[in-house]
Amino acid sequence: MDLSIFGYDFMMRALIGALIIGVAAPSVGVFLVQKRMALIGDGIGHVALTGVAVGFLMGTSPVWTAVVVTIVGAVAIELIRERGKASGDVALALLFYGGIAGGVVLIGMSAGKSNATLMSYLFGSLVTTSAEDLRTIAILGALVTVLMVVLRPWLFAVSQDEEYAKVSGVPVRFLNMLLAVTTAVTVTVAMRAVGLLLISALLVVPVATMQQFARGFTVTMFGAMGLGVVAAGSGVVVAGVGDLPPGAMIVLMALGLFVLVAVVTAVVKLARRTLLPTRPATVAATAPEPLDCHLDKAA
Amino acid sequence: MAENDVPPVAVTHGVVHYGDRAVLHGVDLRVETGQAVALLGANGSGKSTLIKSSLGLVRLTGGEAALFGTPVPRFRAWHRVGYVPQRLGAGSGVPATVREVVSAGRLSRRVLGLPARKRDRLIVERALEAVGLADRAKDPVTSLSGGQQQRTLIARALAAEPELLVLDEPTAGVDAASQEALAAVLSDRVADGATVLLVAHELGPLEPLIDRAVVLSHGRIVHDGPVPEPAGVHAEPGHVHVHPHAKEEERLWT
Ligand SMILES: Nc1ncnc2c1ncn2[C@@H]1O[C@H](COP(=O)(O)OP(=O)(O)OP(=O)(O)O)[C@@H](O)[C@H]1O
Ligand SMILES: [Mg+2]
Repeated sequence: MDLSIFGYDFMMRALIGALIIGVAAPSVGVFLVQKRMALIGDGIGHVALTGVAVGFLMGTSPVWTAVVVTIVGAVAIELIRERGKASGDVALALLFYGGIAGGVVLIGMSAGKSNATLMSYLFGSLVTTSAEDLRTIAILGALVTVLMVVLRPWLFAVSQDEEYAKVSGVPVRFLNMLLAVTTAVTVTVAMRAVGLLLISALLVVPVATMQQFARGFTVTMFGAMGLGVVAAGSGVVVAGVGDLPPGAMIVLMALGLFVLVAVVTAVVKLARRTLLPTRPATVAATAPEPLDCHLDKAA
Repeated sequence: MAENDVPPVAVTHGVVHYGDRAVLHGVDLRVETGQAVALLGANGSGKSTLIKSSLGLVRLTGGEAALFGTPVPRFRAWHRVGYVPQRLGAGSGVPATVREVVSAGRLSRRVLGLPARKRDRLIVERALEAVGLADRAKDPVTSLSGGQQQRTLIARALAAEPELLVLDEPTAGVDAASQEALAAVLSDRVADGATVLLVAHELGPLEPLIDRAVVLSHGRIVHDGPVPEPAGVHAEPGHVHVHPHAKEEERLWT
Protein backbone atom coordinates (compact mmCIF):
# COMPACT_ATOMS: atom_id res chain seq x y z
CA MET A 1 0.00 0.00 0.00
CA ASP A 2 1.42 3.36 -1.02
CA LEU A 3 0.95 5.79 1.86
CA SER A 4 3.33 8.42 0.48
CA ILE A 5 0.38 10.70 -0.28
CA PHE A 6 0.10 11.29 3.48
CA GLY A 7 3.42 13.10 3.25
CA TYR A 8 1.40 16.03 1.88
CA ASP A 9 0.01 18.52 4.37
CA PHE A 10 -3.42 18.60 2.79
CA MET A 11 -3.78 14.85 3.26
CA MET A 12 -2.72 15.04 6.90
CA ARG A 13 -5.23 17.84 7.48
CA ALA A 14 -7.91 15.73 5.86
CA LEU A 15 -7.04 12.79 8.09
CA ILE A 16 -6.96 14.81 11.33
CA GLY A 17 -10.21 16.59 10.45
CA ALA A 18 -11.91 13.30 9.70
CA LEU A 19 -10.74 11.74 12.96
CA ILE A 20 -12.10 14.66 15.02
CA ILE A 21 -15.44 14.47 13.25
CA GLY A 22 -15.41 10.70 13.61
CA VAL A 23 -15.28 10.97 17.41
CA ALA A 24 -17.62 13.97 17.78
CA ALA A 25 -20.51 12.92 15.53
CA PRO A 26 -21.47 9.67 17.32
CA SER A 27 -21.18 11.35 20.74
CA VAL A 28 -24.15 13.51 19.71
CA GLY A 29 -25.79 10.83 17.61
CA VAL A 30 -26.21 8.45 20.53
CA PHE A 31 -28.63 10.85 22.23
CA LEU A 32 -30.52 11.47 19.00
CA VAL A 33 -30.96 7.73 18.51
CA GLN A 34 -32.07 7.38 22.12
CA LYS A 35 -34.72 10.05 21.56
CA ARG A 36 -35.77 8.22 18.40
CA MET A 37 -34.82 11.26 16.37
CA ALA A 38 -32.13 9.52 14.36
CA LEU A 39 -33.01 11.30 11.14
CA ILE A 40 -32.84 14.79 12.62
CA GLY A 41 -29.24 15.05 11.42
CA ASP A 42 -30.47 14.60 7.86
CA GLY A 43 -33.07 17.29 8.32
CA ILE A 44 -30.58 19.73 9.75
CA GLY A 45 -28.27 18.88 6.87
CA HIS A 46 -31.00 20.02 4.50
CA VAL A 47 -31.36 23.24 6.44
CA ALA A 48 -27.59 23.73 6.33
CA LEU A 49 -27.84 23.97 2.55
CA THR A 50 -29.78 27.21 2.95
CA GLY A 51 -27.08 28.38 5.34
CA VAL A 52 -24.36 27.62 2.81
CA ALA A 53 -26.31 29.47 0.14
CA VAL A 54 -26.69 32.50 2.41
CA GLY A 55 -22.92 32.48 2.78
CA PHE A 56 -22.43 32.41 -1.00
CA LEU A 57 -24.89 35.23 -1.42
CA MET A 58 -23.28 37.44 1.21
CA GLY A 59 -19.77 36.53 0.16
CA THR A 60 -18.85 35.34 3.64
CA SER A 61 -17.65 31.97 4.86
CA PRO A 62 -20.47 29.48 4.19
CA VAL A 63 -19.52 27.47 7.27
CA TRP A 64 -20.38 30.25 9.67
CA THR A 65 -23.66 31.20 7.99
CA ALA A 66 -24.51 27.50 7.94
CA VAL A 67 -23.82 27.28 11.69
CA VAL A 68 -26.18 30.17 12.35
CA VAL A 69 -28.96 28.97 10.05
CA THR A 70 -28.83 25.36 11.31
CA ILE A 71 -28.91 26.50 14.93
CA VAL A 72 -32.05 28.51 14.17
CA GLY A 73 -33.52 25.48 12.37
CA ALA A 74 -32.61 23.04 15.15
CA VAL A 75 -34.09 25.28 17.84
CA ALA A 76 -37.25 25.65 15.77
CA ILE A 77 -37.55 21.88 15.45
CA GLU A 78 -37.04 21.48 19.20
CA LEU A 79 -39.71 24.09 19.98
CA ILE A 80 -42.14 22.32 17.63
CA ARG A 81 -41.35 18.96 19.23
CA GLU A 82 -41.86 20.41 22.70
CA ARG A 83 -45.27 21.92 21.85
CA GLY A 84 -47.47 19.93 19.50
CA LYS A 85 -46.38 16.33 19.61
CA ALA A 86 -48.47 14.98 16.74
CA SER A 87 -47.68 17.76 14.27
CA GLY A 88 -43.93 17.51 14.88
CA ASP A 89 -43.43 15.05 12.03
CA VAL A 90 -45.09 17.23 9.46
CA ALA A 91 -43.40 20.40 10.69
CA LEU A 92 -40.08 18.63 10.41
CA ALA A 93 -40.79 17.59 6.83
CA LEU A 94 -41.76 21.15 5.91
CA LEU A 95 -38.52 22.44 7.36
CA PHE A 96 -36.48 19.93 5.35
CA TYR A 97 -38.10 20.79 2.03
CA GLY A 98 -37.85 24.48 2.86
CA GLY A 99 -34.15 24.02 3.58
CA ILE A 100 -33.36 22.31 0.26
CA ALA A 101 -35.58 24.50 -1.88
CA GLY A 102 -34.38 27.69 -0.17
CA GLY A 103 -30.80 26.62 -0.61
CA VAL A 104 -31.15 25.83 -4.31
CA VAL A 105 -32.95 29.12 -5.04
CA LEU A 106 -30.45 31.21 -3.08
CA ILE A 107 -27.52 29.53 -4.80
CA GLY A 108 -29.14 30.26 -8.15
CA MET A 109 -29.31 33.91 -7.11
CA SER A 110 -25.66 34.12 -6.17
CA ALA A 111 -23.89 34.58 -9.47
CA GLY A 112 -20.46 33.22 -10.21
CA LYS A 113 -20.57 30.19 -7.93
CA SER A 114 -19.93 27.06 -9.88
CA ASN A 115 -21.73 23.80 -9.30
CA ALA A 116 -18.43 22.38 -8.14
CA THR A 117 -18.57 24.48 -4.97
CA LEU A 118 -22.10 23.34 -4.26
CA MET A 119 -21.04 19.75 -4.83
CA SER A 120 -18.26 20.12 -2.28
CA TYR A 121 -20.89 20.93 0.37
CA LEU A 122 -23.27 18.24 -0.74
CA PHE A 123 -20.68 15.48 -0.81
CA GLY A 124 -17.80 16.88 1.24
CA SER A 125 -14.33 17.97 0.24
CA LEU A 126 -11.90 16.88 2.89
CA VAL A 127 -8.80 17.40 0.80
CA THR A 128 -9.50 21.11 0.45
CA THR A 129 -9.46 21.55 4.25
CA SER A 130 -7.27 24.57 4.99
CA ALA A 131 -5.27 25.06 8.16
CA GLU A 132 -7.93 27.53 9.28
CA ASP A 133 -10.72 25.05 8.51
CA LEU A 134 -8.90 22.46 10.56
CA ARG A 135 -8.67 24.83 13.50
CA THR A 136 -12.44 25.43 13.32
CA ILE A 137 -13.12 21.70 13.11
CA ALA A 138 -10.80 21.02 16.06
CA ILE A 139 -12.29 23.68 18.33
CA LEU A 140 -15.93 22.89 17.60
CA GLY A 141 -15.37 19.13 17.54
CA ALA A 142 -13.62 19.19 20.91
CA LEU A 143 -16.31 21.42 22.39
CA VAL A 144 -19.09 19.12 21.22
CA THR A 145 -17.35 15.95 22.43
CA VAL A 146 -16.45 17.36 25.84
CA LEU A 147 -20.00 18.66 26.40
CA MET A 148 -21.58 15.35 25.45
CA VAL A 149 -19.21 13.31 27.61
CA VAL A 150 -19.39 15.57 30.66
CA LEU A 151 -23.17 15.97 30.53
CA ARG A 152 -23.79 12.32 29.64
CA PRO A 153 -25.79 11.35 32.77
CA TRP A 154 -28.09 14.37 32.42
CA LEU A 155 -28.56 14.09 28.67
CA PHE A 156 -29.18 10.37 29.18
CA ALA A 157 -31.90 11.10 31.73
CA VAL A 158 -33.59 13.65 29.47
CA SER A 159 -33.45 11.41 26.40
CA GLN A 160 -34.53 8.29 28.27
CA ASP A 161 -37.45 9.59 30.33
CA GLU A 162 -38.19 13.27 30.00
CA GLU A 163 -40.96 13.31 32.63
CA TYR A 164 -38.76 11.69 35.20
CA ALA A 165 -35.93 14.07 34.36
CA LYS A 166 -38.31 16.96 35.12
CA VAL A 167 -39.12 15.69 38.61
CA SER A 168 -35.40 15.13 39.20
CA GLY A 169 -34.83 18.83 38.76
CA VAL A 170 -32.79 18.23 35.59
CA PRO A 171 -32.94 21.35 33.38
CA VAL A 172 -34.82 19.51 30.64
CA ARG A 173 -35.50 22.47 28.41
CA PHE A 174 -31.94 23.76 28.54
CA LEU A 175 -30.49 20.33 27.77
CA ASN A 176 -32.87 19.75 24.86
CA MET A 177 -31.86 23.09 23.40
CA LEU A 178 -28.21 22.33 24.01
CA LEU A 179 -28.56 19.04 22.18
CA ALA A 180 -30.32 20.78 19.28
CA VAL A 181 -27.58 23.41 19.01
CA THR A 182 -24.84 20.80 19.32
CA THR A 183 -26.45 18.75 16.56
CA ALA A 184 -26.51 21.80 14.33
CA VAL A 185 -22.85 22.57 15.02
CA THR A 186 -21.83 18.96 14.42
CA VAL A 187 -23.70 18.82 11.15
CA THR A 188 -22.07 21.97 9.82
CA VAL A 189 -18.61 20.92 10.93
CA ALA A 190 -19.02 17.45 9.46
CA MET A 191 -20.39 18.84 6.23
CA ARG A 192 -16.77 19.58 5.27
CA ALA A 193 -15.88 15.94 5.64
CA VAL A 194 -18.71 13.78 4.41
CA GLY A 195 -21.07 16.34 2.90
CA LEU A 196 -24.59 17.33 3.84
CA LEU A 197 -26.17 14.32 2.19
CA LEU A 198 -24.17 11.80 4.20
CA ILE A 199 -23.79 13.53 7.55
CA SER A 200 -26.55 11.56 9.25
CA ALA A 201 -24.63 8.37 8.53
CA LEU A 202 -21.76 9.46 10.78
CA LEU A 203 -24.16 10.48 13.55
CA VAL A 204 -26.18 7.30 13.48
CA VAL A 205 -24.40 4.32 11.90
CA PRO A 206 -21.70 3.83 14.59
CA VAL A 207 -24.43 3.98 17.26
CA ALA A 208 -26.54 1.45 15.38
CA THR A 209 -23.47 -0.77 15.12
CA MET A 210 -22.93 -0.73 18.90
CA GLN A 211 -26.64 -1.24 19.58
CA GLN A 212 -26.43 -4.68 18.02
CA PHE A 213 -24.51 -6.12 20.92
CA ALA A 214 -23.97 -3.51 23.66
CA ARG A 215 -25.88 -3.92 26.92
CA GLY A 216 -25.58 -0.43 28.32
CA PHE A 217 -25.68 3.22 27.33
CA THR A 218 -22.14 4.22 28.33
CA VAL A 219 -20.66 1.31 26.41
CA THR A 220 -22.75 2.20 23.37
CA MET A 221 -21.67 5.82 23.50
CA PHE A 222 -17.93 5.31 23.87
CA GLY A 223 -17.93 2.31 21.55
CA ALA A 224 -19.69 4.35 18.86
CA MET A 225 -17.12 7.14 19.25
CA GLY A 226 -14.37 4.56 18.78
CA LEU A 227 -16.07 3.11 15.72
CA GLY A 228 -16.49 6.63 14.32
CA VAL A 229 -12.74 7.18 14.59
CA VAL A 230 -11.99 3.83 12.96
CA ALA A 231 -14.40 4.51 10.08
CA ALA A 232 -13.10 8.05 9.54
CA GLY A 233 -9.43 7.06 9.72
CA SER A 234 -9.70 4.01 7.50
CA GLY A 235 -12.00 5.83 5.09
CA VAL A 236 -9.51 8.64 4.52
CA VAL A 237 -6.57 6.27 4.17
CA VAL A 238 -8.35 4.03 1.65
CA ALA A 239 -9.59 7.06 -0.25
CA GLY A 240 -6.10 8.61 -0.25
CA VAL A 241 -4.43 5.46 -1.49
CA GLY A 242 -7.07 4.59 -4.06
CA ASP A 243 -7.80 8.19 -5.13
CA LEU A 244 -11.47 7.88 -4.15
CA PRO A 245 -13.87 10.44 -2.61
CA PRO A 246 -13.03 10.39 1.15
CA GLY A 247 -16.48 11.43 2.43
CA ALA A 248 -18.31 8.57 0.78
CA MET A 249 -15.49 6.20 1.69
CA ILE A 250 -15.85 7.10 5.40
CA VAL A 251 -19.55 6.32 5.25
CA LEU A 252 -18.90 3.04 3.42
CA MET A 253 -16.41 2.09 6.12
CA ALA A 254 -18.98 2.85 8.84
CA LEU A 255 -21.54 0.72 7.03
CA GLY A 256 -18.93 -2.00 6.53
CA LEU A 257 -18.34 -2.07 10.29
CA PHE A 258 -22.08 -2.33 10.83
CA VAL A 259 -22.35 -5.36 8.55
CA LEU A 260 -19.24 -6.94 10.06
CA VAL A 261 -20.65 -6.59 13.59
CA ALA A 262 -24.03 -7.90 12.43
CA VAL A 263 -22.40 -11.01 11.03
CA VAL A 264 -20.15 -11.54 14.05
CA THR A 265 -23.00 -11.14 16.56
CA ALA A 266 -25.17 -13.52 14.55
CA VAL A 267 -22.38 -16.10 14.49
CA VAL A 268 -21.66 -15.64 18.20
CA LYS A 269 -25.35 -16.02 19.05
CA LEU A 270 -25.61 -19.15 16.94
CA ALA A 271 -22.48 -20.57 18.53
CA ARG A 272 -23.81 -19.81 22.01
CA ARG A 273 -27.09 -21.48 21.28
CA THR A 274 -25.49 -24.63 19.94
CA LEU A 275 -22.41 -24.88 22.14
CA LEU A 276 -23.48 -23.57 25.56
CA PRO A 277 -27.17 -24.14 26.16
CA THR A 278 -28.64 -21.32 28.26
CA ARG A 279 -31.29 -23.51 29.78
CA PRO A 280 -29.38 -26.67 30.65
CA ALA A 281 -32.33 -28.36 32.31
CA THR A 282 -34.72 -28.12 29.39
CA VAL A 283 -32.07 -28.81 26.79
CA ALA A 284 -30.93 -31.90 28.62
CA ALA A 285 -34.49 -33.12 28.83
CA THR A 286 -35.33 -32.49 25.21
CA ALA A 287 -32.00 -33.14 23.55
CA PRO A 288 -32.56 -36.79 22.65
CA GLU A 289 -35.95 -36.04 21.17
CA PRO A 290 -35.03 -34.76 17.71
CA LEU A 291 -32.98 -37.88 17.22
CA ASP A 292 -35.95 -40.04 18.13
CA CYS A 293 -38.15 -38.08 15.77
CA HIS A 294 -35.78 -38.67 12.92
CA LEU A 295 -35.64 -42.33 13.73
CA ASP A 296 -39.41 -42.46 13.86
CA LYS A 297 -39.70 -40.81 10.49
CA ALA A 298 -37.08 -43.03 9.02
CA ALA A 299 -38.81 -46.12 10.30
CA MET B 1 -53.90 16.03 61.47
CA ALA B 2 -52.79 19.31 62.96
CA GLU B 3 -49.15 19.14 61.92
CA ASN B 4 -47.19 22.31 62.38
CA ASP B 5 -45.15 21.94 59.22
CA VAL B 6 -46.31 22.35 55.67
CA PRO B 7 -47.87 19.39 53.85
CA PRO B 8 -45.54 17.64 51.37
CA VAL B 9 -48.39 17.34 48.87
CA ALA B 10 -51.23 19.81 48.52
CA VAL B 11 -53.59 20.07 45.59
CA THR B 12 -56.38 22.58 46.05
CA HIS B 13 -59.44 22.63 43.81
CA GLY B 14 -57.40 20.85 41.15
CA VAL B 15 -59.01 20.85 37.70
CA VAL B 16 -57.42 19.12 34.71
CA HIS B 17 -58.65 19.07 31.12
CA TYR B 18 -57.31 16.92 28.32
CA GLY B 19 -58.44 18.91 25.34
CA ASP B 20 -62.02 19.92 26.12
CA ARG B 21 -62.71 17.01 28.44
CA ALA B 22 -62.42 17.61 32.17
CA VAL B 23 -60.70 14.69 33.87
CA LEU B 24 -60.37 16.15 37.37
CA HIS B 25 -63.20 18.30 38.67
CA GLY B 26 -61.86 20.37 41.57
CA VAL B 27 -59.98 17.82 43.64
CA ASP B 28 -58.54 18.62 47.07
CA LEU B 29 -55.73 16.39 48.26
CA ARG B 30 -53.50 17.13 51.22
CA VAL B 31 -50.91 14.66 52.44
CA GLU B 32 -49.31 15.43 55.80
CA THR B 33 -45.70 14.73 56.73
CA GLY B 34 -45.13 11.10 57.65
CA GLN B 35 -48.48 9.93 56.32
CA ALA B 36 -48.90 6.99 53.97
CA VAL B 37 -51.86 7.63 51.72
CA ALA B 38 -53.32 5.25 49.17
CA LEU B 39 -55.13 6.63 46.16
CA LEU B 40 -57.75 4.15 44.97
CA GLY B 41 -60.25 4.13 42.14
CA ALA B 42 -61.29 2.42 38.92
CA ASN B 43 -59.32 2.60 35.67
CA GLY B 44 -59.60 6.03 34.17
CA SER B 45 -60.86 7.66 37.37
CA GLY B 46 -57.96 10.13 37.23
CA LYS B 47 -55.46 8.72 39.73
CA SER B 48 -52.41 9.10 37.51
CA THR B 49 -53.60 12.51 36.41
CA LEU B 50 -53.95 13.69 40.00
CA ILE B 51 -50.50 12.42 40.92
CA LYS B 52 -48.89 13.94 37.86
CA SER B 53 -50.54 17.29 38.39
CA SER B 54 -49.39 17.32 42.01
CA LEU B 55 -45.82 17.02 40.62
CA GLY B 56 -46.33 19.53 37.83
CA LEU B 57 -46.12 16.92 35.06
CA VAL B 58 -49.69 17.66 34.00
CA ARG B 59 -50.78 21.27 33.85
CA LEU B 60 -53.67 22.21 36.12
CA THR B 61 -56.36 24.14 34.28
CA GLY B 62 -57.79 25.25 37.59
CA GLY B 63 -56.72 25.33 41.23
CA GLU B 64 -53.16 24.91 42.36
CA ALA B 65 -50.60 22.40 43.50
CA ALA B 66 -47.82 22.85 46.02
CA LEU B 67 -44.96 20.63 47.17
CA PHE B 68 -43.64 21.22 50.68
CA GLY B 69 -45.50 24.51 50.72
CA THR B 70 -43.98 25.84 47.49
CA PRO B 71 -46.20 26.23 44.42
CA VAL B 72 -45.05 23.56 41.95
CA PRO B 73 -43.97 25.96 39.17
CA ARG B 74 -41.50 27.52 41.60
CA PHE B 75 -40.51 24.29 43.37
CA ARG B 76 -36.79 23.47 43.03
CA ALA B 77 -35.98 21.03 45.86
CA TRP B 78 -36.60 17.97 43.68
CA HIS B 79 -34.23 15.81 45.72
CA ARG B 80 -37.00 15.71 48.34
CA VAL B 81 -39.30 13.93 45.90
CA GLY B 82 -39.10 10.39 44.52
CA TYR B 83 -41.54 9.53 41.74
CA VAL B 84 -42.35 6.08 40.39
CA PRO B 85 -44.28 6.37 37.13
CA GLN B 86 -46.85 3.79 36.07
CA ARG B 87 -44.51 2.45 33.40
CA LEU B 88 -40.99 2.78 32.06
CA GLY B 89 -40.53 5.76 29.76
CA ALA B 90 -41.07 4.76 26.15
CA GLY B 91 -38.13 6.55 24.60
CA SER B 92 -35.08 4.40 24.35
CA GLY B 93 -33.62 3.20 21.12
CA VAL B 94 -30.29 2.71 22.87
CA PRO B 95 -29.84 -0.05 25.45
CA ALA B 96 -29.44 1.07 29.07
CA THR B 97 -28.45 -1.05 32.02
CA VAL B 98 -30.49 -1.29 35.20
CA ARG B 99 -27.76 0.59 37.06
CA GLU B 100 -27.75 3.39 34.49
CA VAL B 101 -31.50 3.87 34.84
CA VAL B 102 -31.34 3.78 38.65
CA SER B 103 -28.41 6.24 38.65
CA ALA B 104 -30.63 8.76 36.85
CA GLY B 105 -32.61 8.94 40.10
CA ARG B 106 -29.55 10.35 41.82
CA LEU B 107 -29.28 13.37 39.52
CA SER B 108 -31.49 15.51 41.74
CA ARG B 109 -28.67 15.38 44.29
CA ARG B 110 -25.84 15.96 41.83
CA VAL B 111 -24.42 19.19 40.47
CA LEU B 112 -24.79 19.54 36.70
CA GLY B 113 -21.52 18.59 35.00
CA LEU B 114 -19.71 17.23 38.05
CA PRO B 115 -18.83 13.54 38.34
CA ALA B 116 -20.70 11.22 40.73
CA ARG B 117 -19.25 11.06 44.22
CA LYS B 118 -18.57 7.90 46.17
CA ARG B 119 -21.73 8.44 48.18
CA ASP B 120 -23.84 8.77 45.03
CA ARG B 121 -22.63 5.39 43.83
CA LEU B 122 -23.15 3.85 47.27
CA ILE B 123 -26.76 5.01 47.46
CA VAL B 124 -27.44 3.67 43.97
CA GLU B 125 -26.09 0.25 45.00
CA ARG B 126 -28.24 0.33 48.14
CA ALA B 127 -31.32 1.18 46.13
CA LEU B 128 -30.59 -1.76 43.80
CA GLU B 129 -30.21 -4.06 46.79
CA ALA B 130 -33.40 -2.75 48.39
CA VAL B 131 -35.44 -3.93 45.42
CA GLY B 132 -33.44 -7.12 44.96
CA LEU B 133 -31.91 -6.23 41.61
CA ALA B 134 -28.25 -5.95 42.61
CA ASP B 135 -27.38 -9.04 40.58
CA ARG B 136 -29.11 -7.65 37.48
CA ALA B 137 -27.42 -4.24 37.64
CA LYS B 138 -25.44 -4.76 34.42
CA ASP B 139 -28.30 -6.19 32.40
CA PRO B 140 -30.24 -4.08 29.90
CA VAL B 141 -33.57 -2.95 31.42
CA THR B 142 -35.42 -4.17 28.37
CA SER B 143 -34.32 -7.71 29.20
CA LEU B 144 -36.19 -7.58 32.53
CA SER B 145 -39.73 -8.73 33.13
CA GLY B 146 -42.49 -6.18 33.69
CA GLY B 147 -42.34 -6.67 37.45
CA GLN B 148 -38.57 -6.31 37.49
CA GLN B 149 -38.78 -3.14 35.42
CA GLN B 150 -41.26 -1.81 37.97
CA ARG B 151 -38.73 -2.56 40.70
CA THR B 152 -36.06 -0.73 38.68
CA LEU B 153 -38.26 2.37 38.70
CA ILE B 154 -38.76 2.06 42.46
CA ALA B 155 -35.00 1.82 42.95
CA ARG B 156 -34.56 4.91 40.79
CA ALA B 157 -36.92 6.86 43.06
CA LEU B 158 -35.16 5.57 46.19
CA ALA B 159 -31.78 6.70 44.82
CA ALA B 160 -32.75 10.31 45.49
CA GLU B 161 -33.20 9.50 49.22
CA PRO B 162 -36.49 11.37 49.05
CA GLU B 163 -38.67 12.60 51.91
CA LEU B 164 -41.75 12.17 49.76
CA LEU B 165 -42.37 9.07 47.67
CA VAL B 166 -45.06 9.26 45.01
CA LEU B 167 -45.72 5.87 43.46
CA ASP B 168 -48.12 5.14 40.61
CA GLU B 169 -49.17 1.49 40.91
CA PRO B 170 -45.87 0.20 42.26
CA THR B 171 -47.40 -3.24 42.78
CA ALA B 172 -48.87 -3.74 39.31
CA GLY B 173 -47.46 -6.92 37.83
CA VAL B 174 -45.23 -7.51 40.85
CA ASP B 175 -45.39 -10.97 42.45
CA ALA B 176 -46.40 -11.56 46.08
CA ALA B 177 -42.83 -11.91 47.36
CA SER B 178 -41.75 -8.67 45.72
CA GLN B 179 -44.82 -6.89 47.08
CA GLU B 180 -43.77 -7.97 50.57
CA ALA B 181 -40.28 -6.67 49.84
CA LEU B 182 -41.68 -3.37 48.61
CA ALA B 183 -43.88 -3.08 51.70
CA ALA B 184 -40.76 -3.59 53.85
CA VAL B 185 -38.82 -0.93 51.91
CA LEU B 186 -41.68 1.55 52.19
CA SER B 187 -42.28 0.98 55.89
CA ASP B 188 -38.55 1.56 56.44
CA ARG B 189 -38.86 4.90 54.67
CA VAL B 190 -42.01 5.78 56.64
CA ALA B 191 -40.26 4.85 59.90
CA ASP B 192 -37.55 7.32 58.86
CA GLY B 193 -40.21 9.99 58.61
CA ALA B 194 -40.86 9.83 54.88
CA THR B 195 -44.25 10.57 53.38
CA VAL B 196 -45.84 8.16 50.91
CA LEU B 197 -48.55 8.71 48.33
CA LEU B 198 -49.28 5.66 46.25
CA VAL B 199 -51.82 4.51 43.70
CA ALA B 200 -52.97 0.92 43.90
CA HIS B 201 -55.79 -1.29 42.80
CA GLU B 202 -55.25 -3.75 45.62
CA LEU B 203 -53.20 -2.87 48.65
CA GLY B 204 -52.25 -6.45 49.54
CA PRO B 205 -49.14 -6.50 51.76
CA LEU B 206 -49.05 -2.68 51.70
CA GLU B 207 -52.29 -2.44 53.66
CA PRO B 208 -50.83 -2.33 57.21
CA LEU B 209 -48.65 0.59 56.10
CA ILE B 210 -51.47 2.78 54.85
CA ASP B 211 -52.88 5.42 57.25
CA ARG B 212 -55.50 6.79 54.96
CA ALA B 213 -57.22 6.04 51.70
CA VAL B 214 -58.55 8.48 49.13
CA VAL B 215 -60.95 7.07 46.56
CA LEU B 216 -61.38 8.80 43.21
CA SER B 217 -64.34 8.24 40.95
CA HIS B 218 -64.79 10.03 37.62
CA GLY B 219 -62.36 12.75 38.64
CA ARG B 220 -63.95 13.44 42.05
CA ILE B 221 -62.95 12.33 45.53
CA VAL B 222 -65.70 10.10 46.87
CA HIS B 223 -63.98 8.84 50.01
CA ASP B 224 -61.23 10.18 52.24
CA GLY B 225 -60.48 8.34 55.45
CA PRO B 226 -59.70 4.84 56.65
CA VAL B 227 -58.97 2.13 54.11
CA PRO B 228 -62.35 0.89 52.87
CA GLU B 229 -63.11 -2.66 53.96
CA PRO B 230 -63.29 -5.17 51.11
CA ALA B 231 -66.84 -6.09 52.18
CA GLY B 232 -67.92 -2.48 52.75
CA VAL B 233 -69.71 0.00 50.53
CA HIS B 234 -66.50 1.15 48.88
CA ALA B 235 -65.35 -2.36 48.11
CA GLU B 236 -62.82 -2.42 45.31
CA PRO B 237 -64.08 -4.79 42.63
CA GLY B 238 -60.62 -6.27 42.12
CA HIS B 239 -59.77 -6.60 45.79
CA VAL B 240 -59.72 -10.35 45.92
CA HIS B 241 -57.66 -11.08 42.96
CA VAL B 242 -55.14 -13.68 41.95
CA HIS B 243 -51.83 -12.33 40.74
CA PRO B 244 -51.53 -13.59 37.22
CA HIS B 245 -47.87 -12.68 36.93
CA ALA B 246 -46.85 -14.18 40.23
CA LYS B 247 -43.74 -16.34 40.08
CA GLU B 248 -43.91 -16.48 36.34
CA GLU B 249 -41.36 -13.79 35.66
CA GLU B 250 -38.30 -15.50 37.08
CA ARG B 251 -38.60 -18.36 34.64
CA LEU B 252 -38.33 -16.18 31.58
CA TRP B 253 -34.95 -14.56 32.20
CA THR B 254 -32.08 -16.53 33.56
N1 LIG C 1 -52.54 12.26 27.73
C1 LIG C 1 -53.87 12.13 27.76
N2 LIG C 1 -54.62 12.67 26.78
C2 LIG C 1 -55.96 12.56 26.80
N3 LIG C 1 -56.66 11.94 27.76
C3 LIG C 1 -55.97 11.37 28.76
C4 LIG C 1 -54.54 11.42 28.82
N4 LIG C 1 -54.13 10.76 29.92
C5 LIG C 1 -55.24 10.32 30.52
N5 LIG C 1 -56.36 10.68 29.83
C6 LIG C 1 -57.74 10.40 30.22
O1 LIG C 1 -57.94 10.88 31.52
C7 LIG C 1 -58.70 9.97 32.29
C8 LIG C 1 -57.97 9.65 33.57
O2 LIG C 1 -56.77 9.00 33.25
P1 LIG C 1 -55.75 8.51 34.35
O3 LIG C 1 -54.58 7.96 33.64
O4 LIG C 1 -55.53 9.61 35.31
O5 LIG C 1 -56.56 7.34 35.04
P2 LIG C 1 -56.08 6.32 36.16
O6 LIG C 1 -57.04 6.47 37.30
O7 LIG C 1 -54.66 6.51 36.47
O8 LIG C 1 -56.34 4.93 35.44
P3 LIG C 1 -55.51 3.56 35.53
O9 LIG C 1 -56.03 2.83 36.71
O10 LIG C 1 -55.87 2.85 34.26
O11 LIG C 1 -54.07 3.89 35.59
C9 LIG C 1 -58.96 8.77 31.41
O12 LIG C 1 -60.27 8.85 30.95
C10 LIG C 1 -58.01 8.92 30.27
O13 LIG C 1 -58.60 8.50 29.07
MG1 LIG D 1 -52.96 5.38 36.13
